Amino acid sequence: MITLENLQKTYPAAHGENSPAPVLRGVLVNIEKGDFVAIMGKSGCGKSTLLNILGCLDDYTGGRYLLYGKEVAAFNSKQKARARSKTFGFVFQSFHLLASETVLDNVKLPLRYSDIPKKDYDKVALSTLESLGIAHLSSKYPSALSGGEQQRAAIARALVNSPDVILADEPTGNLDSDTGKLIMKTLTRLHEEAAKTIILVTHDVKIASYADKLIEMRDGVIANCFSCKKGGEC
Amino acid sequence: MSVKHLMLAMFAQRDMYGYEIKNMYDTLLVVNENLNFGQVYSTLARLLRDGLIIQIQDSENETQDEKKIYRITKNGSDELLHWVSQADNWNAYPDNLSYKLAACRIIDRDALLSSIEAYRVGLVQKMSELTKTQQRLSDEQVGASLVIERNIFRLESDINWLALCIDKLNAQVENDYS
Repeated sequence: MITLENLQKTYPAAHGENSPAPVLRGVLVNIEKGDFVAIMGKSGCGKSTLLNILGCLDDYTGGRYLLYGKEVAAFNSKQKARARSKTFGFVFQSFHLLASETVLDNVKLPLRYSDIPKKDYDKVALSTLESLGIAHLSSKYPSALSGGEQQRAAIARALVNSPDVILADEPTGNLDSDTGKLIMKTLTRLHEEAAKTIILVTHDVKIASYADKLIEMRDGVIANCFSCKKGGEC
Repeated sequence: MSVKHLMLAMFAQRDMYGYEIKNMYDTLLVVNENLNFGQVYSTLARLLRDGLIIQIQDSENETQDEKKIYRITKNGSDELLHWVSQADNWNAYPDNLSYKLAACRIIDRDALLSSIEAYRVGLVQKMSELTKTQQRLSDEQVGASLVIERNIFRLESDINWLALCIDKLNAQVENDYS
C-alpha cells in the first residue's frame, strides 16, 4: 500500500545558515493495508515530517514514495488533494477543531471534498459520531468539551470520509494518561473492527506499544523496525 | 517470591483443592508464567509443614479420597495479615546487564551496544504484548491489570534508560576515537 524507498527531505538553508538541513536521510518503509504502525523517536528525529509526507501534506526532496503503486511525486495538486480527502484521515495533537463550529459541523467539514450529496452530510456525520459513541456531543462547541471528547470528535472528523488510513500525530500528547488510553482503545477498535490502517507518531513508547509494527527513527533514518506480533517480521 | 502468601490469600476466601489453587493463581497473576502443578504441591507441602494450612475431609466427595482439600489455619491467617501489612523493599538490580555496564570500558563495546539494542527491542515487544493482554482483561480482573500496569511502567523506564545508555556509550566511543 505504502512503499518508501530511500526517502529524503532536506530543507533549504535557513537565513544565516550556510548549509541545507536534511531531516529525512534515506527512509525505507513498507506499510500494508490493515497495518497498525507506530513511528517513534525523540523530538527532531523526523517522524512528524515523515507523517506529513505520507499524508501528502508535504513534499519530499529525494527517493520514492509509492502510494498504491503510484509515485506521489508525480501527483498533480488535484490528485494530492484527493489522496488527502479520500485515502487519509488526520488526527492531530491539538485536535484542530474549529471553535466557532459545533461538533457536527466540524465533522461535516471534510465531506465538502467528497462525492457525498450535501443533503446527506448530517446523516453521515451523525452516523460517524454514533460509531464512536459521541453522538450526544453533536450540538456542542469544542470549548464545552473535555480534551478526550475533543480528540474523539477529531477522530470522527478524520473518519467521516471513510479513509483507508488514519494518520495520527501525537494523538494523546495533550491528554492525561487515562484519557490517552481511551483514545488508543478507540484507534485499536478502528484497526481491529473497521480494518483501518493506522499510522501514528509518538515519542511515548507506552502509546507506541498499542501498535503491531514499530518504526524507531533517529536522526532522520530508521534505527529499528520490528513487529510486535510473536515471530512477526517488520 | 510470595507464591505461598498468594495461596494463603486464596485459602482465606474458602477451602480449596490443589487444582483450584492453580487455576485461581493463573487468573489472578496473568502476567507471570503459569504455575505448574509441581510448584503448587511443593508449596502446599510447605504450608502444611509450617502449620499455615491443614488438610480436611471433603464432606461432599467422601468417596473420592484422592482429592485433598485444604483450609487456612489461625497461624496462616496471621501470617497472611503480617505479609499484607509489611512495607515492601525496593531492590537494586544486580542483574547481568549491570555487570556488563560496569565493565563497559574494558569489554567489546560494539558487542555490548548491539546486545543492548537487541535487549531494548525485546522490551518494547514485551511491552506491546502486555498492553494487548491488559486490553483483553475483564473489569473484574483489576488485580491482574494493576500487576500488568506495574510491569508496563517498569518496562517504560528501562526502555528509556536503555536509550540513554546507548546514547552515552556511543558518545564515549566517539570521544575515545577523536
